[in-house]
Amino acid sequence: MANQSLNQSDHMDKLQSFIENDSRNLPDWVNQGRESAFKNYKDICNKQLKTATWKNTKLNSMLDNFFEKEFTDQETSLNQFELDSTLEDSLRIFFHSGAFFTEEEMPSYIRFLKGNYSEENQAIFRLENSSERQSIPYLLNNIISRDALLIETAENQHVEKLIHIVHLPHKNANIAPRLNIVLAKNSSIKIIDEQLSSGDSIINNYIDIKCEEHSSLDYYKVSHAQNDSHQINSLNLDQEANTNVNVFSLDLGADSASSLNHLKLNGENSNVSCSTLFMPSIDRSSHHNIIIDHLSDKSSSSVNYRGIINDHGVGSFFGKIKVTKERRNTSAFMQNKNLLLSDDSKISTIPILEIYNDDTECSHSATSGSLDKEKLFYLKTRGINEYDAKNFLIKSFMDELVSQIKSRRLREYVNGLILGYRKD
Amino acid sequence: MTKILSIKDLHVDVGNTSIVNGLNLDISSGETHAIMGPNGSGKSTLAKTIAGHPDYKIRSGTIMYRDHDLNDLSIEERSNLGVFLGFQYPIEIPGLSNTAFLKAAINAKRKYHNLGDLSASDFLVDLKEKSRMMDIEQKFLSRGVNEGFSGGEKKRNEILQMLMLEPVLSILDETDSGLDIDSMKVVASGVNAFRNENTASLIITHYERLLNYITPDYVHVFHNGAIIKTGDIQLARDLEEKGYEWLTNP
Ligand SMILES: Nc1ncnc2c1ncn2[C@@H]1O[C@H](COP(=O)(O)OP(=O)(O)OP(=O)(O)O)[C@@H](O)[C@H]1O
Ligand SMILES: [Mg+2]
Repeated sequence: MANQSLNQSDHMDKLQSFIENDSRNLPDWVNQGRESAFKNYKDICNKQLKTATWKNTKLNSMLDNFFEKEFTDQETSLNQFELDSTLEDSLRIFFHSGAFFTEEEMPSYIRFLKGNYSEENQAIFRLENSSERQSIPYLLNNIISRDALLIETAENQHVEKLIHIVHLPHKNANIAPRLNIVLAKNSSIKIIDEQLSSGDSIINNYIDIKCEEHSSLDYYKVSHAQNDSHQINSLNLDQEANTNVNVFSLDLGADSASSLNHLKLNGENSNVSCSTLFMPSIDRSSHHNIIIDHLSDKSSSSVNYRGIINDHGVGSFFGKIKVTKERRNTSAFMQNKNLLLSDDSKISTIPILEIYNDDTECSHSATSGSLDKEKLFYLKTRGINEYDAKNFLIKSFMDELVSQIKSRRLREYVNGLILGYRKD
Repeated sequence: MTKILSIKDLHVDVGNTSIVNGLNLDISSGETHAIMGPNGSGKSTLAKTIAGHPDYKIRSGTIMYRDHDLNDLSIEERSNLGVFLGFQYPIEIPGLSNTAFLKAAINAKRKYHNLGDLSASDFLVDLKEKSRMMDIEQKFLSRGVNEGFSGGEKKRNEILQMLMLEPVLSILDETDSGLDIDSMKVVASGVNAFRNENTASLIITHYERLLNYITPDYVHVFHNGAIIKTGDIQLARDLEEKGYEWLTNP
């Protein structure tokens, strides 16, 4: 993994001129947001690139190529895309060329700009400048993005229909989708956020979620394989008291794909479960980084990552759960299991529990291995060929996570993607 | 009566150790053979070698199954051609339901013989009848393969798979070990239902008990990877009484 060093001054100059010359007639509040993000970016970039998270993920080369991609701005028509119809009766919102659009009437709890930069639409961006958000992807997202999607439920609102955000494929593009989810008190919603296959692109997704008391959220992130592309999915989650959040991700890898999750349990009885399946094959990679802060009593977290690495694929898991001394009655569970399908596949895994009290029920484990030879033998003695037998074992390995998906159709869709990927 | 299995001067190695040493065995259609022998004598090794386990290498000798030299066939081809192995230790595969597994197995075999998939309703009727015979409740079938099954349930599930796959040669490796009396009878009835003039069985066991329900035509004593004595059910009774000592250290 060559870690060429970034030509920083050149990079900063280009960013500066991007902000100054963006011809798209943006209002002051957007430009001010960009400038303040840029200022912070200059402060932290150098230092962050030296941390382990960035060192291993080819981020330098992403920044090097940053301005070779187009910041596209054309109108998009859905006709040019082949879309799967499995989840069709959901409410669908599309993202392409830096903007969100839809073909149907949107309910009032879903908002995006549609080119309208009025003052009241500022709220859709939810630009925040707190110190914990000073990450490279967040700041770059602030600099680049010119649209955001806000899903904000009302108090006591329980949205039945599945919300399906479809990120359409790009070629040679630099995009920074921005998704804000706010759940008001005692509300619930289910969202699937799907990234279709792009080529030669940089995709910097930033997702910010805030759950007020007694709310509950199912958030599914599906990332198809990205070709010759860099993809970052950052997720920042704040949970208040008596909230339940299930995050499920499927990541099929990219030239470099990274997920950075920071989950904060701020209120009592907040529970989060975060499950991820990652399956880089060919020469793709898939890196995962999760930090959970237990900031209140009686909070519980369950982290379950499974990797299947094929061909020359590379995967990594870094997980940290932090529970401070004062916390009472918390529980933390973290597991990472990996399956290596070829001799050339690589994985590294670091699960860490930082627990400074003895009132936390906790466990963590990490295992990596190849397909069980005896299981393969058993299946073959029943007449099942090597290819199918391996697929059964892959499905078996993933099933513990996939079976948690409540919607049957979504479960079948995910299973289809898991098994389909070997035909690549 | 046609020859189904013919093993000639077979030597099998695991790593650098020779486990089967000059074994000869012929089994014809309609016959049931029992193999008895002390722990570690190589019985399971023989069974897995016939099924094609990659760890067991044939150093010399041949295993002919009908017209096929088994060494030329993959594991799944052997199965598709009618060789069945009931495992001493059946494997658990969570997340793959017994029903889906059986359907895949049956359709793999049908495909091998250029037949289309079995209709879902025919499959379910067959499965219902045979699982009832094996005393396996319907709800077990939607669970993962052998997942959370008790020892006895796993063994009955092996026989269910055998009945569903309708093999020609069935090798049962200690299917009777760990069974209570009722399960033993259920397993025996399954094996007896499978027996006819076209099929053959090779039953590996430590106990005469099962053989009282499934009367074998031959009983072989296995020792150090070869057959050292062949007789009938009376030989099994003698072994039950006297152990192996009188044969291995005469
Ligand atoms: N995969 C293997 N690797 C190493 N040694 C093996 C392997 N399989 C079998 N053996 C050895 O070969 C010998 C025969 O084993 P096998 O399982 O065939 O015996 P068995 O007759 O079936 O015994 P039991 O009655 O206990 O089931 C044993 O010494 C065993 O340790
Ligand atoms: Mg054995």
